[in-house]
Amino acid sequence: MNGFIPMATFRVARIDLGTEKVTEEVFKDDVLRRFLGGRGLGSYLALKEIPRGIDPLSPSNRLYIFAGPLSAMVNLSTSRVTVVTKSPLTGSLTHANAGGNFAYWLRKSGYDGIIIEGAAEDPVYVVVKDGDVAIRPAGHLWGKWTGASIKAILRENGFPEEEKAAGVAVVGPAGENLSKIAGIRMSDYERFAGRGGVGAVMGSKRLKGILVWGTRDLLKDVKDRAKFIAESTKLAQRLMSGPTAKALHIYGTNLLTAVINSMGAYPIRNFETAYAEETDKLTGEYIKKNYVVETHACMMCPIACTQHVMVKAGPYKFVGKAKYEYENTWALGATLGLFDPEADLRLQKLANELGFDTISLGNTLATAIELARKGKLKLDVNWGDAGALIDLVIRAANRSDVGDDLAEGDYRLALKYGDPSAFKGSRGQGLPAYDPRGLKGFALSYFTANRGGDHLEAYSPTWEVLGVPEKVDPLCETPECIEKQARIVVYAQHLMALADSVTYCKFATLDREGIFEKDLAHLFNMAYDWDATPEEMLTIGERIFNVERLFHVKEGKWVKDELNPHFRNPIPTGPAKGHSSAKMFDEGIKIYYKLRGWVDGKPTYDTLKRLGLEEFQYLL
Amino acid sequence: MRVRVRIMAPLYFGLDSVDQISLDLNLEDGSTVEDVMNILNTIHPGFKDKVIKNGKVLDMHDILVNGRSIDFLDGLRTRLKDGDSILVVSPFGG
Repeated sequence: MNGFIPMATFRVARIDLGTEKVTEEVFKDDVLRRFLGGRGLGSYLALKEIPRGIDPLSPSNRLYIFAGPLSAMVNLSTSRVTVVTKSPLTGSLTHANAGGNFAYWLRKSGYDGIIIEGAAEDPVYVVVKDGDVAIRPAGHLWGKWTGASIKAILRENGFPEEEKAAGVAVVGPAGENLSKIAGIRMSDYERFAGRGGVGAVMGSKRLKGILVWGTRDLLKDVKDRAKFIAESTKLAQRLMSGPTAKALHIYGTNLLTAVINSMGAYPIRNFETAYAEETDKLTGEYIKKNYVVETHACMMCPIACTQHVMVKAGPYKFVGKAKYEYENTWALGATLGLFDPEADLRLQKLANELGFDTISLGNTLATAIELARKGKLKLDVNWGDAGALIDLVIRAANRSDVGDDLAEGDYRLALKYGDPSAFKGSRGQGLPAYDPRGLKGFALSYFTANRGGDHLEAYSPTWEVLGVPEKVDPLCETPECIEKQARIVVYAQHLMALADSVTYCKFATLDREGIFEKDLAHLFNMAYDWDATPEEMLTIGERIFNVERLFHVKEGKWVKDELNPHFRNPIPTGPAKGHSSAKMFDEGIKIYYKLRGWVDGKPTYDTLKRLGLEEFQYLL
Repeated sequence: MRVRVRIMAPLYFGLDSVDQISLDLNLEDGSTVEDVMNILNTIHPGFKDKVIKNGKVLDMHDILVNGRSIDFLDGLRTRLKDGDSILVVSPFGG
């Protein structure tokens, strides 16, 4: 095949690693216009195909690695790829999204998505070049860290050791050793499909990596190429005219440390409190001044927010550069009671090289420290103990002694050592870097998020601080505020599901000049000659969100939304002292269910009918 | 009275500092957030216009007093007291 893709199709390579059989499937308008690609199409197929009750680390599980129908076609931060699978961490559906260049090269390779089934007997990696799929031995790469693995796969396939040269996805030792908090590293550079233990699923299939490359012309079948380019360029210019793009470009995501800590919503020591005086050296500004060596961009992204750091001397120096973010800095810093930026960046580099989801790794280490301090887990570690933490990260990746427990993640660790209260998460996955008591939108969005413990299914600082689409007081609990929060969370969950399925970056939704449902309808109509409305786009987002929930219904797991009991306790110190998530969740969830047409977390038949999902009514 | 003022993301605001700008100001009793912005504007000419337009904080920007947005206090007329902490917030994403 020479890369010819007719309009409005989504071409998938289904690769069974057990039989080494490769089949090609093409999805057309009838499916695409209901689920798009990425997270939407992946979740739909996962619901239909993954048998109920299977072990997520068995060959029966599947990995859906999907770009979207607009991925890498326009300069609107569209080189994003979503991985959907049954999560070994949560035991139900998860999705994890990465930037970089993988989605770009995946589509250039002639495919829009890859489905991995079965499991290889010995380690392998997959190479997709201009429509040809090859499965190659990877025994010599097994055990290698992620950076070295990417270089080796590039070199062995005739590319320079430059991550720009092709798209490569790999697992590190964490994924190989089936750590339930392992992610998949994607080029270019240290990008991760992080959450839900997707790296362990890849490891369970003995799949070390995937290389994608090709020459397909992605705009070949667009109805009016010149118009499409001109109109999407206008949108990119508008996006870049907004202030969030400018701030993100200069400093990256870690500007958040100062804002969120100042608001009293910055989780400290496993959510013990939500404010610390000693965060100055963890801020994006301090790290920019002292450690950032370059700014980098994902493919097809005009924002270029990525910050690469180096620690060149001292006990925490490391070789080469690391990509660092707000979430990572918190997860391997403040929530561990660690405020030394060099130790924090060293831990981030180590986590990226070993192939962990940094958020869940931080959650797990914080849980371990809490358990150790309570005398429940025999372990010589305390808050801020960088040396011990570095050692524990390596043990977790190798599953050596206590590392075997750590590799199972925070939820199982807390249960095993008899203290479920040490787990600060939802649906089996730990929470990210915002305390839902100080930003009450998260009291609803975290605990209704389908993949659990998640800030990216509805990102409440967008409206609670930036004021998009309208500003809501993050501490207000009047009936009006609760209703407003529920409505915006529902809207945002649909928009975020769209972003992960189109695909484009959620950073394009933070600004009034950003990319929203109206712009998406315009782009699809131009590209594929659809007649979609903004309302139809949001309905696609709602359909996707319901499909994900139906996976929980099918598994009989995590159906009803529950507030983690820790967040019923008031924050003990700081600017949001005295606030809890209880009222917002208890009152808000009733409104939320009404808006969704759900009962106790479960869609009703009428809701399925309204969304055209009657084929799943047997699950109710 | 004495207050602490911090400016986030100085490079974003076109100021000549990578790290946050932090300063302690001695103010007269009854001073407001607007008074602080006027002082900052004398230190960094043009700064006020980068945060405030037509008497309002720009979209996607904010000013926090002790962690609370002035949108939920008394806006630029918010009165300050001894020991208050003020943060001028740039746009962000994460």
